[in-house]
Amino acid sequence: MGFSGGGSNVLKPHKHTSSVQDGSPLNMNNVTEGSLTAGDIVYSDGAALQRLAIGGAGTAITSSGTAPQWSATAGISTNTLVDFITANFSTTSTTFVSTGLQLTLTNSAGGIAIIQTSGAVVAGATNVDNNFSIFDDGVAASNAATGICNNQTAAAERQTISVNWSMATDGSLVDLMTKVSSSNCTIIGTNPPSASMIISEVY
Amino acid sequence: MIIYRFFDETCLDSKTCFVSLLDKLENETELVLQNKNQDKIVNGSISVWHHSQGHLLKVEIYENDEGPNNEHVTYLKKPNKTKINLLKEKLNDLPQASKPNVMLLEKLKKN
Repeated sequence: MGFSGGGSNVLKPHKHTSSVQDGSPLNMNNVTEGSLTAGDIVYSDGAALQRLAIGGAGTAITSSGTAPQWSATAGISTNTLVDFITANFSTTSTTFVSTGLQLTLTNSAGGIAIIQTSGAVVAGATNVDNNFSIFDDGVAASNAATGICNNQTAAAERQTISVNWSMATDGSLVDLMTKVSSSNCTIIGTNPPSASMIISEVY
Repeated sequence: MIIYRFFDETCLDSKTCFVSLLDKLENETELVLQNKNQDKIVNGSISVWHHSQGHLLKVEIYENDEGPNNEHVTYLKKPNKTKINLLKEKLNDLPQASKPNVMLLEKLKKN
């Protein structure tokens, strides 16, 4: 029903449609006023309009199932950790010993860390079994990868090693450990090539 | 028992340097620090990070006897005190490193 109607001063019900007699559309461009405060958002509860006050910094609108609400955001972070052995590393150890490639994971529940290690090795004898394993706070996390450490001296003839693993971002110390079956083995840490540990975290 | 020492060494390459140190320590202490014999009995091991201005040596001496198992193929044999004391003397005789990589040592001690 429109505004017109017999010269009465009583404002009659209207819908603010495009009809002039129906109040015309509400001008939302910094003109129409309401019982609101800065940052308020208006929504309907099915019976009347409701105001939703602005949420805290960094929060986002979610649904309660019946109404909009402000909630803490569950954002995703990424992080990359890198370590290099900046020297050659030699060992005779037949029990696991740290290569010096070590990184500490971020401590964030629900996250995952992808661990990649690689390098090249040269041995003091032919066909030396050379085991590598990623340790999590001193405990073997990965299945040990076994490579052959041979006594080639030319860089192009050296064996390469690669051990990869994934684990939770639990703040633990990740360590690439190695051992030999006999004789000794040297990981080539000088450039080229170099031995490295790269960890990609998502949490 | 684990002992760390920084030392200087002039070698043609890391492998030569390492074998030279290994032979020296084994000959002077009669400790078996490498599995090179068929009997596979070892008293410990050595590991070296070959930094140009100061090598870092890690010596591990086994403190208990242990047979081969899933963790290692060797017989770990605790040496007598005389050999251990001799080892400590020989380690103290190593030439001092000019610029020891203290950060690496601290890092290794975390584990």
